[in-house]
Amino acid sequence: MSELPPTAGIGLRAPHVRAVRDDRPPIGWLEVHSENYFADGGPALASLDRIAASYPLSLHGVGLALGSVAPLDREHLRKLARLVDRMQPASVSEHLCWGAFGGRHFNDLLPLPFTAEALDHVCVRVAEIQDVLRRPILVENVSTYATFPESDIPEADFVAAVAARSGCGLLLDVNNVHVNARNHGVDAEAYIATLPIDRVREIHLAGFDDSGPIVIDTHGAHVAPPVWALYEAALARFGAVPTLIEWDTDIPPLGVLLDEAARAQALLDRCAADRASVRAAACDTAAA
Amino acid sequence: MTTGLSVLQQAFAGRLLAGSGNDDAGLAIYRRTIRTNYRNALAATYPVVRELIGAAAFDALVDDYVASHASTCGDLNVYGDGLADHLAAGRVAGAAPSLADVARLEWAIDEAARAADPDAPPAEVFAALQAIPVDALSASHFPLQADVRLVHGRGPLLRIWQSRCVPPGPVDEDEHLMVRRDADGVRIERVPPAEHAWLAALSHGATLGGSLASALAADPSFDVSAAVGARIADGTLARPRPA
Repeated sequence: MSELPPTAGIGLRAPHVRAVRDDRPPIGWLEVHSENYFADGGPALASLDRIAASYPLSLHGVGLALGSVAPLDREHLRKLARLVDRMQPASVSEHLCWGAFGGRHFNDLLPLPFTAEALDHVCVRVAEIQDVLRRPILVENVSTYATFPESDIPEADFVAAVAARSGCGLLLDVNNVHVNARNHGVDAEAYIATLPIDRVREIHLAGFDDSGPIVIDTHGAHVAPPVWALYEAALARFGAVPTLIEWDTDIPPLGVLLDEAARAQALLDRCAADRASVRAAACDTAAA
Repeated sequence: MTTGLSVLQQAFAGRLLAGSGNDDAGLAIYRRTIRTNYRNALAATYPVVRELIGAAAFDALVDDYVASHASTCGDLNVYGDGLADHLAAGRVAGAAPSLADVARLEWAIDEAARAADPDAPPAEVFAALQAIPVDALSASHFPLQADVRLVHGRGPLLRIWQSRCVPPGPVDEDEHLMVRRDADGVRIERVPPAEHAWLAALSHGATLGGSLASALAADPSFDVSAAVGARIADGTLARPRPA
């Protein structure tokens, strides 16, 4: 099973599929929403076949609602497994959230209470999914606009415990950490310092809407300066981790996404160079 | 004792579904995001319906539809199959009668795009046909390829879909359409009523013999042999299954 390269990629959305498929611009890797390729056949899947032959691919789910107490949607999971078998992606990820209750799906990333029971539930669900897919998945922290007074585990500890107990990797959305820090008063740098170094396998960067009393994770703007700064802190802790530029609303021309990815790539390159020089210095010291 | 996860999710779901009178700001954001997700999803599936009635009316239509058709799946690409029936039930004041049929056509287009690829090329389907003894043909099944959809509506449905406007005046004729994929996307063609009835019967699992009654009722001169040959050649019919 291949891994994502430690480079910058972009979220591939419908307006750019044809250009990427036909022109193959230089991009480290691509991520698509899994559900958009759950079809039984047809042109979208055929396009993704061609794209997956040219780029490392990440499948990022938005609908499995793994924290829901509602039964796991076996048909949804079957379609995901079918897609994974077909595409053999470098990464498969889902969100740490819930979304369905009582037979109704809300089709949104709803906030979990961070309790021991929720932790047990999520870990069982992640294990079920990994068993079906026969591979570890990555679980992503989400932006939230509501919290539960019943939460008695700090979010970062909860996320770390999911990885430790289920064996999954972590998809660290740096923008979501920033949004939650703003909305709930969480210490963003302490959050990142809590996550296990060896479990963060992917990073997401995106833009948010800061026009109201609550910061909203819209994926509809450039990555904001404080998120870039937090990203640098994340790279300092986790090293050069595959990093994705996500843009889902008011999607700009492909060149804008590539420019954002290039900025992330420059930071990844600097991180890798810094680590190489530290390693070289350590070797010199050891040899002296 | 802590409140259980199920109780917390049930309460949160209940607050999302309740009226917006006593929202806190966070809950209002979730409610707005959910509403936008459904509007965007159905706008992608029903672009012509949206254009015909305008963005604001379409958003109101989606909100009304969602209120009576709960999503049960985490894949929004397959949500909205009941919009045509919802429109046919007269849920949009002042909407043209053909609007429900346009929605039916757009859902057929969406389904065709997501359907499985053909099970066999025409040459293999012809070979399978020739392998069936003549006296067994009547009891054999001739399924349609997975991407084929049949739509029956009030005319001029195809012209409305192509031009994105409803011509003035009364509608006095039915239109029978077949939707399927081709190399460039989706192809829509008008089909004679008898052939449409025949294909519909086959798609519902009728045998070749059983499929003829409805076709002949529409056109006593319907030539099933010619139709089978033509529809295998153009990729409409899948591999036949002997009884």
